[in-house]
Amino acid sequence: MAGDNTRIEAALAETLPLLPEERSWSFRDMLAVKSGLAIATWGFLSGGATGQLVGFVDGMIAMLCGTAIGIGILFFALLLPVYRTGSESFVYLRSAFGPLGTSLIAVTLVLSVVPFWTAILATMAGSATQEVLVALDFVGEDTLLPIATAMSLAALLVSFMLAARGSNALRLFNLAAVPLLVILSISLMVAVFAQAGWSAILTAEPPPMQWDRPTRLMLAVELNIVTNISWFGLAGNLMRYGNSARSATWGTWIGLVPIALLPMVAGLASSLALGSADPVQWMIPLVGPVLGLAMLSILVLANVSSMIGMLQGNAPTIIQNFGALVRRLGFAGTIAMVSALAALIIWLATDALYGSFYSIVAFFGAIFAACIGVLLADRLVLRRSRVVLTDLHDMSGGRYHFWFGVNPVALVALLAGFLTYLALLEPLSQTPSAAFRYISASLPAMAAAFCVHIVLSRLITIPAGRGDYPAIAKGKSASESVEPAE
Amino acid sequence: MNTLRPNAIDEELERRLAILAAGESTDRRLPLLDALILVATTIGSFVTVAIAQAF
Repeated sequence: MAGDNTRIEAALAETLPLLPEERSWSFRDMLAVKSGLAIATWGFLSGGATGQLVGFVDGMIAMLCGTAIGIGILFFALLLPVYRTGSESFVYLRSAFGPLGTSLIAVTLVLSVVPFWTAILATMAGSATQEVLVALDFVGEDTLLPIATAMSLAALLVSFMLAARGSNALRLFNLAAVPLLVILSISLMVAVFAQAGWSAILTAEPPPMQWDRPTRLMLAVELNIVTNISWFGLAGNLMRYGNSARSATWGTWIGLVPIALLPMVAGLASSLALGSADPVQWMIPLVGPVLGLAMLSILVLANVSSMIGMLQGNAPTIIQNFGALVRRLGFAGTIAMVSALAALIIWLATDALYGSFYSIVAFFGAIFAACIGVLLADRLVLRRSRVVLTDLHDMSGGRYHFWFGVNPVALVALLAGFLTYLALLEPLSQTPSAAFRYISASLPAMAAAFCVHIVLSRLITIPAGRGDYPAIAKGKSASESVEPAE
Repeated sequence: MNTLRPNAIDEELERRLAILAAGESTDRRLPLLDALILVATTIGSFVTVAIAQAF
C-alpha cells in the first residue's frame, strides 16, 4: 500500500486522496474487511434487540429490509461519491457543509460515537475472554478481580497495535479471520435452531408491548436502518481502497448486508427462544465446553477484527477534520488517542455500556439520517454529482468556503431533518407517533433535510454566489479540473 | 510515535493532487446496471416492509 511515499508514513498519507496504486483491494479483500467489521457481538445484540420488538418472521423481514434500505441509501448519499473522489468521507461533506461546518459535525459525531463503539466492542471481547478463562479454571467464577475489564483493555491494546499498522494489516487480518467468523456465525445459528427447534422459534413471541404489529414491525425496521446508516464515514473510508467501483460496491454491500445478517439471525433466534441474544451467556451451555470454548475464542477474534476496522477506518476522519494539532499526532498517535478515550469509558462505565447500546445508536441515527438527506440533495439535485477535489481540501477559501467556512443552509436543513425524526420517533424511549407505522422516522427525516436544503439553497446560497453550485458556475473554465463525484 | 513537521501533510497533499491531476483519469463510476440493481434492492426492501405490514 505504501507506493513510492518517502515523505510521511504510508498510513498517514492514505488519509489524503488515494493514489491509483493504493486503490488495490479486490472484491475478496473488500468483502473480507467489511464482513470482519460486521461480524461481532454487536451483530448478535442487534438481532436480539429486533427480537424484543417482533417475532422471528417479522424479525427476518425487518433485519433484511432495514439493513438493505440503510446501506442502499448510504451508497447514493456518501459511499459512491467518496469512492469516486478517493478522499476521506467527511472531506467530501465539505461540499455541502463547508470545511468548518464539516469539522463541527465530524468532531461531534466521531467523538461521541467512535470511542463509545470501540469501548463496547472491547467490553464484549473482554466478557468473552473472561468466560474462556473461567471455563479453563484460570480464574474462579466468583473472583473479585476485574478480569473482564482487564481483558477488555488487553483486547483494546491488541486492536490498537494492529490498527496502527495501516490498511494492509487490516486487509490481511480480515482475510485470515473472516472465514472463522462466518463459520462461527453459521454454527451458532445452527446450534440455536437445533436446541430450541424450528417451531418454537417460529412461534415465539416478543415481550408484550403497547403497539400493534405494523408499528412494532416498523420499529424493528427503523432500528436496522439507523444501525446501518451509522456505518457512515467509516464504510466510505474503507471502500476507497477498492480497485474498481463494482468490486468495492458489492464487496461492501455483501459484507454489510447478507454477511452481517448471519450473527443477527442467530441473535434474533436466541433472543426469542433462549431469552438472551448475547452468545457469551449461552454458548458453552448450548454447544458444550470444548466447542463452546473454541467458539468463544473466535468471538473474541470477531470483536477484535471489528475494533481494528473501527479504529483504522475512523482515523482518517479525525486526522483530516480535527485540526492541525491533532493532525500532528500522526496515524498511530490518533488511534492511540481514540483508544485512550475508549479505555476511559471501559474503566468508568462498563456496567452502563450494554444498557445504553441502542439509545446511542438511535440518537445518532437521527443525526446521520438528516445528514444523508442534505448530502442527497446537494449531490443529486444541486451539484449534479460534480465536485472539485482540490477545493475539497482547501480549508481557507475555495469553492466550498460558503460563509466563514460554514454553510448555514445545510446546517438548518440538518436541524430540520433531526427535528422531523424526533417528531416521528423519540429515539431514546423509542416512542412512535401515529404516522410512524407507515413512513418510519429516518426516511422522512432524510426527506425533510433534502427538501429544506434544496429550497434554502435556491433562495439564499445560490443567489448569493456561494458554494459554486452549477447555476452560478456557468461559463467557468474550470470544467477540466472538475472531478465528477459519481 | 514521531511528531510530524507542521507542513508535512500539506506537502504530501499537494504532491498527491498534482499526481492525480496529471495522471490519466480512471472511470470510477458504478456501472449503470449495478446502480439500478442497488436502487431496486433499496426501494424493493421498503415495498416488502409495506406488504408485510398489510398481512
